[in-house]
Amino acid sequence: MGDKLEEWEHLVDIVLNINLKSVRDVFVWDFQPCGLYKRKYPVSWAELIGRMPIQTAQLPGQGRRTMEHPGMIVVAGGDRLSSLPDGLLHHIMSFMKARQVVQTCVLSTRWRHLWRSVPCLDVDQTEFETGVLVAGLREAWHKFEDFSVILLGTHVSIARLDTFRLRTCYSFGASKHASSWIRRAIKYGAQEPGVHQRERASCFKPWRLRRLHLSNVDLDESFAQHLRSGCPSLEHLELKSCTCNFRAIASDSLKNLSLKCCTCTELSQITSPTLESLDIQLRSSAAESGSSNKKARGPLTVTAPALACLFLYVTDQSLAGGVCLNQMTSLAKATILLWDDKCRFLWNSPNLRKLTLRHCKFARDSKKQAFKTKKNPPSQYHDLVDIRRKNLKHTEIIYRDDDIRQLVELLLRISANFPNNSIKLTRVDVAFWRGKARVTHRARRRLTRTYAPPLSGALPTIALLAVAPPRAARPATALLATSSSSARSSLLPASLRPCSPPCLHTRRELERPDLRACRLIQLRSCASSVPPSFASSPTSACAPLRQALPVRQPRAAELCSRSNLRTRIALTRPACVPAPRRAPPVARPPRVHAALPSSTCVPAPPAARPLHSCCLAELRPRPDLPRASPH
Amino acid sequence: MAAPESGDGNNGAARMVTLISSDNTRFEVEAAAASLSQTLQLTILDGGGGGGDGIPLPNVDSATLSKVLEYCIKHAPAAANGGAPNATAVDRAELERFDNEFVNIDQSVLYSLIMAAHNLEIEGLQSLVAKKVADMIKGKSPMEIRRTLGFPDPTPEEQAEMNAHMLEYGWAYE
Repeated sequence: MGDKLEEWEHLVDIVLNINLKSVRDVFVWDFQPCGLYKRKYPVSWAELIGRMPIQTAQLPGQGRRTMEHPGMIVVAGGDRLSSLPDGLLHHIMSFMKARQVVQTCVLSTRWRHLWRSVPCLDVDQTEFETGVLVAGLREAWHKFEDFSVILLGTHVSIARLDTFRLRTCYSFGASKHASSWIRRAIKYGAQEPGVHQRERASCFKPWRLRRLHLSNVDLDESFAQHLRSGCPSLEHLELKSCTCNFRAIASDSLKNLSLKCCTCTELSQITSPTLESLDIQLRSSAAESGSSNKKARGPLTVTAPALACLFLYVTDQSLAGGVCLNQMTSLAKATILLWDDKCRFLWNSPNLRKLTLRHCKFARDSKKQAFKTKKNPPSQYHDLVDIRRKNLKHTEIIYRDDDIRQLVELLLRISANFPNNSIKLTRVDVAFWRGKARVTHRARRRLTRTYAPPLSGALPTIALLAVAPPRAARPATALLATSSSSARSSLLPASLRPCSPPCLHTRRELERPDLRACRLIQLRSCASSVPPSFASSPTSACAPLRQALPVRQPRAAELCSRSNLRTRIALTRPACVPAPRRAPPVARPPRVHAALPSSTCVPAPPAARPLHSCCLAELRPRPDLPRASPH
Repeated sequence: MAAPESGDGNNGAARMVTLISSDNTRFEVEAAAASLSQTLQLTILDGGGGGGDGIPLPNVDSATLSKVLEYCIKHAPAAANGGAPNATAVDRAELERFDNEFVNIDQSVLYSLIMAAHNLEIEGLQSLVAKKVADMIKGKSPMEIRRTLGFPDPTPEEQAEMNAHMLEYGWAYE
């Protein structure tokens, strides 16, 4: 560092010794390496600059002087833009597309070679497109191809860039050509352009690329290999509409990985110890939807212990083997959309705070199907939900199938184990989605969100489940499920269907075709405050249920009660519940409930049990529904 | 202006620092706003800039500095939230609107701004101005760029050089 310092002193002397009378402004720039300057130089920044009375270089007249000294350029004359340092001009260029960047070389002598050292390159086919006609497109493609081949082949080496974006459109085999550029860049990339080919191959150096964005490029195994061994500084990788013919993505430096609309027929592993954000949106390819390719497809295993943010959107065809997510100890936010019936995932993610599951089905017919891979045997599945995750605060589950038995069972376990969790459960009818099959993924998300808690008449069925946070360690939980006319008893898990006399009534109620709502409340551990309208059922009435409930502390499990429409209406009456939306639900023994006329209030219970809070959906009375009980 | 909560919170009230421009104008701003500049942040963390002695910025004039500080003050709350995961869309839209108007200024001011941002190491401002300048260049032919950005007319030698160059790099102009 010593000689650098000396060099710098020397430089300052030169600047200060310039005859200031003849110079209007001297522009000194480029303190690179900045680190040296900031950390090693003994004088403070302000002081140093203070010693230089001048900032901008502009010699009077048309005289032009360039001082050939490292670290300093005195630019004279010309426009003010050109007087900016290379670093800033490169920064400006990083917002421009590649062709325009190259074209700046004719602006002036100052700009002549600037583009050659640009650290960021954005090669985009759309820059060449002028018309929409096929002929125009073909011409554009030819221009783009020529440009890219020359630029990437002889002038700029991808390996020496900091950021590289390559975007091609679907036309004329673009992805195949683009892949050959990448292949060549991998093979000969790290060298100075113009070096003889034989020399290049002999001294391979790793890329120093930090960001790589590829769009519509065919990528093969060599790319994945290079990623593993040849890109030690790659942090951001974005592949969009790419065809990925490799099995694994592995990297020791990757922080953000995004696979958008990619076709990954063989991808089975993503491994990176540093990965923080993973965004997978896979598209099913026409070729793959055939049965031949589906055969022995293992699950996609993601191993990323540092992952904090996960977005997963896969369709049936794109990941036939399912997904396996392991050991994500720092995962904080996860959104998972699965249209597949074979999804399985294993969370060992104690820091997970928000989890969104969309269209997950845990099993269609039997447990066997759901757990058939050895990656995720049933025992582990139980472990999954047995872990206490106090940090999990919000879970949103959006599903679309009628049969959610497994789901409800899972939720009951979750509610026992994740005391701070609040779960929002939204059911979206299959027909509803099918009708909107063309809407984009984004639109789907919006629709779902819009329709979630406030029940709209247009939405066929919505179930909402809320688990109230307990005040102390003893959880009081409530499960509330509301469904419209299409609801069936299958909404409840089989184990919850009671069989003894007091509960037969429940079953009958649930299986009624005109059932509008059912509520399932599971109460445990009562605290001191007792809401006035809250009623509890005698423990004896629910003995069979208590046994059936998959809760971890059977003694604490008091009741599973449900109500149909009448109860709901009763609940919404201002006389009964002043603030319907905030009021705790009323849990009563089925018999009491059945005997009540629809208009009466709930009688005060002998031993009321508290429920700290509970979310209720659709408490508004619906005039179109029958009020009187047929019983 | 509401005091943005600083992470360290060593002082209860928002700490003020004084910045002195090249023409000796003094600007008093909150430390949180000035800390958007990486360069100033180091000085402020060392305890500089408080009280009577300001931080001299001899290569930023007062007009530019006031503009820079306008940006810093507007962006300081968002930066204090650390990327602001809880920032609402309204806040973001508001910032965006501010940014768009902020760079809608004369070219020479833009260049002073980007230099100041570079010197003071304010990354957001530098990117903002760089993007604006890139937008002024985008989609224009070299001659149009020259006219727009006020390049001096090329001398005949330069013109000949350029022509030769354009021939050589014809692939970029087709």
